[in-house]
Amino acid sequence: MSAGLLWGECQGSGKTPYRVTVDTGTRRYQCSCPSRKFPCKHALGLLFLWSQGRIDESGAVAGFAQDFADRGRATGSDPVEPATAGPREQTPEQRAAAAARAAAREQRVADGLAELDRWLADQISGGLARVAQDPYGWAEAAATRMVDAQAPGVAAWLRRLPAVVTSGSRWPQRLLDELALLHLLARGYARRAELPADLVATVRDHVGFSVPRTTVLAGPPVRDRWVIVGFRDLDTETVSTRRVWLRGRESDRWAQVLFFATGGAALDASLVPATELDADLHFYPGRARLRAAVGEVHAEAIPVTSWCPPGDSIAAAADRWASALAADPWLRQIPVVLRGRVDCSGRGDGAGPGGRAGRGDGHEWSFADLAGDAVVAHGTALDLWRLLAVTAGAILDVAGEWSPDGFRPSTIVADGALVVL
Amino acid sequence: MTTPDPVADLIAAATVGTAHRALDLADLPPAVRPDPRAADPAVALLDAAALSALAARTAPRQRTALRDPTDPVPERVPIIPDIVRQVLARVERQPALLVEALTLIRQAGLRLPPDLVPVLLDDARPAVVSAARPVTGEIGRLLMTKNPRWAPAAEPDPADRTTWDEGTVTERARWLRALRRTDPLAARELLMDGFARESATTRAELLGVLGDGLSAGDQDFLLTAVGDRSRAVVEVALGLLNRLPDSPLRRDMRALAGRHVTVARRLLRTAVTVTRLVPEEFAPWPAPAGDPWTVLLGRVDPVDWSAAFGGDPFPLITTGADELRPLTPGFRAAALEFRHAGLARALVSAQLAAASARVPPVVDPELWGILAPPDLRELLERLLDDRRVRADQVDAVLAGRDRPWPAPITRLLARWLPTGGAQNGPAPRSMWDRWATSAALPDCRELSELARAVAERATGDAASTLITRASQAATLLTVRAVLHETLRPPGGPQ
Repeated sequence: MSAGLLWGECQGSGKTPYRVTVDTGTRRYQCSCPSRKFPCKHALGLLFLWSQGRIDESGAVAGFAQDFADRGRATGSDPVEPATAGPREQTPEQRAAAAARAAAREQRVADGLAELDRWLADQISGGLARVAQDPYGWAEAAATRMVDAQAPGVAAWLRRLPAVVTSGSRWPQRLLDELALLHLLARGYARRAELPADLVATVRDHVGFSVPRTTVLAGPPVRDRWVIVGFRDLDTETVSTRRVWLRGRESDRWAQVLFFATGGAALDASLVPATELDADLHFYPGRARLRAAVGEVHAEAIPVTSWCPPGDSIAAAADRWASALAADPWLRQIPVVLRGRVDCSGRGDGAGPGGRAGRGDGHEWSFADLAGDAVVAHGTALDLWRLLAVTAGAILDVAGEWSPDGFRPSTIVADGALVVL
Repeated sequence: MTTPDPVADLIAAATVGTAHRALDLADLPPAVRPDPRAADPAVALLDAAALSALAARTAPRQRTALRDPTDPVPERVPIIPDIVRQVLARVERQPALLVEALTLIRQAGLRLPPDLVPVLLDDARPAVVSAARPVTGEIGRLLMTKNPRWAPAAEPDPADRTTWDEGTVTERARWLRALRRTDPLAARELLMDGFARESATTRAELLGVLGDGLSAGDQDFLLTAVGDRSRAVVEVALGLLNRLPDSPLRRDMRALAGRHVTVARRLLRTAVTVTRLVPEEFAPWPAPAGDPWTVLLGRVDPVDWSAAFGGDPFPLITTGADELRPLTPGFRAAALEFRHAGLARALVSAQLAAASARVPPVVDPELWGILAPPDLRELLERLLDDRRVRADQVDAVLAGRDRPWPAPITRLLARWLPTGGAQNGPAPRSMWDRWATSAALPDCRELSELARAVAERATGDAASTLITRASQAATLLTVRAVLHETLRPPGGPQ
């Protein structure tokens, strides 16, 4: 071990031992084994030996471990990287070339979105009924075009549309809503010169312009004891996304940290729900001011205790949602903590917990607040049944996501602690 | 007449296409009316739809609060300790252990944590769900009310004949069984009433219900059923008559067997005489469909053999007397039909004795399944002593035994599993698992240490395999020991 870096070799079933490296400072792991678990058992074993004081803390760093450490620094994935560390120094020529590349991309996106807007109008002119003939292939060409135009956010949006077309009755209305919002995005991008800077950042974010992490980390930090309230994993064919919701104990501010993984790799699990982390968060630009990157971590995460966020009423949550939409019309969901109780009616037709509840499983789930207002509760049937079992009719604070579909509970706040569903 | 919905018009125009259907955007409410209006109707519609979508997204999906919301559910029974919860997670994929854990929780007077209740009530394994229901507490009762799919299937009401008159065969049999439990005579009379009008399959299925609470009072009806035109019905009737010790069938079969088998003492040895048996001799009972000896001996209780044959044939069966060899299938049928442990012991002993240098031992798992525990231990020791016995044979012998296994059996196996007989290496993992999951709970701690010691002492080529299998078994045994030690009722057995 050296400077927070652990490394070793583990003899597996094969001839060549696996090479394991753990960076204890940044909680990064690497192993040459084929396991899809992350961290793998070899990394855990190494950490176990370390925790028992059975690893020599002297000696030169092995080559493979040094490479791993160097790569971490090069990719800027080090969460304890000083927040003030800005982008690397560039020569004037490099800056000019980068500006030219950025301008070229702006133009490609502008051309692509203009083309998309014409395509949208064509769909409306020809009628959405045609879409039902080929729900899965219908938007694929447009999505591919958006990939070429370097608008990955729009491409991903278009690839979500087949699910809308096959979502049951009233799908034309839902599809029209999606196309109209895409139209609004295309128009917004076309007129970006007329928009305020924060709205431009929001539009660019939805189009798929990424902001370098180093740029985000160069922004002002917001230090707080961040409660990790819950997370949700979303999988597409190519990318897995983990959406982690955090809330500052002092600032009462919500934040969203996104993790991505491709090729079947495991998602980052460094933010553990029901724990709190004393850390700096750096917020991405944009109007929603939700997405953040974890900067300097000041202390290890500890279990949440004595946390009692004020639970909103449904009316208050609806107001917050309306305000959030006014700021960012393309927003999909916001985090909320509601005070009330979940309940269900209906007899059910046998859909198991693996199924999606809230519609179609024969049970109608609702979340009612103290004022008697109720909103549709949705999510997996198992989550909702567990919520009902754990709350047992009691009034409690429940955290989750608020969206046009209703309220999706994820975590119960009880006695100052969190119970993740 | 309904008021036209301008937003619905918007959707209709988008669905059909603005090229085919005109839309007057002036009809739209001001909040969703685009201004300025685009020249292209499709673009104008998209502008209006964007405003409409935003307005719709702003409003939450309201739902009317329930008139009678679920009240807080008071629980009186304590929740299991955390360590038991960890054990439940550990044995989640092993239904036998999960059922065992849930049963222990019930016996300890505890209940499951609420978040596990829906998970276990929705389990796909019926045995797990049945074991879980009693330990779900009040919240379980509430969830079963709200989701009747999780509730146990209600017993049919014997007072309501609707199921009998209109149900499927299975439903009718279930209803008849319920009536049989409350009023055996009424159930029999109801069955007799319309018996002839039923199809052959239904007759056979419903007649089998009389097996519940079978008594001498059912005999006359069964004798009638023996004359049924369906072979399946006849077989069911004969089977039931065979369960009545004083039935004419048993009496006639006893007499017939006595006429053909004689066991007599001659000087220092016991001699047996077996004469030829022909199917016609079964009259007035139906002629046997297969081997007459198998059918005949399967209808004579081994308890009556000494009286019927004039002497005890068991010693001769044990030694594998040549004269009795053709009757062996019949002996086996009798042992299984009457669950006669002594006869099973005689037959298994004969099988083991028949093994020779050239012939490996034969194992009949069904016979092994009815051996008395002391016989099982003794015979299993003999079987395991034979290095040619295969692991699958030993596994088959033990698979049919009820859990938990007595300590002498588990200790015997603990010595054998590392070598595995003919396998000449550690027994397969399935056998280690079966051993670890079948040991009696009070023995688990000791056996886990035994398995751990085996893993620690392993050497040679098979050491890696042995370490893996013994360690996994040790883990299972430890988990069960923890369950036993944590959930042992106060004052219960150590």
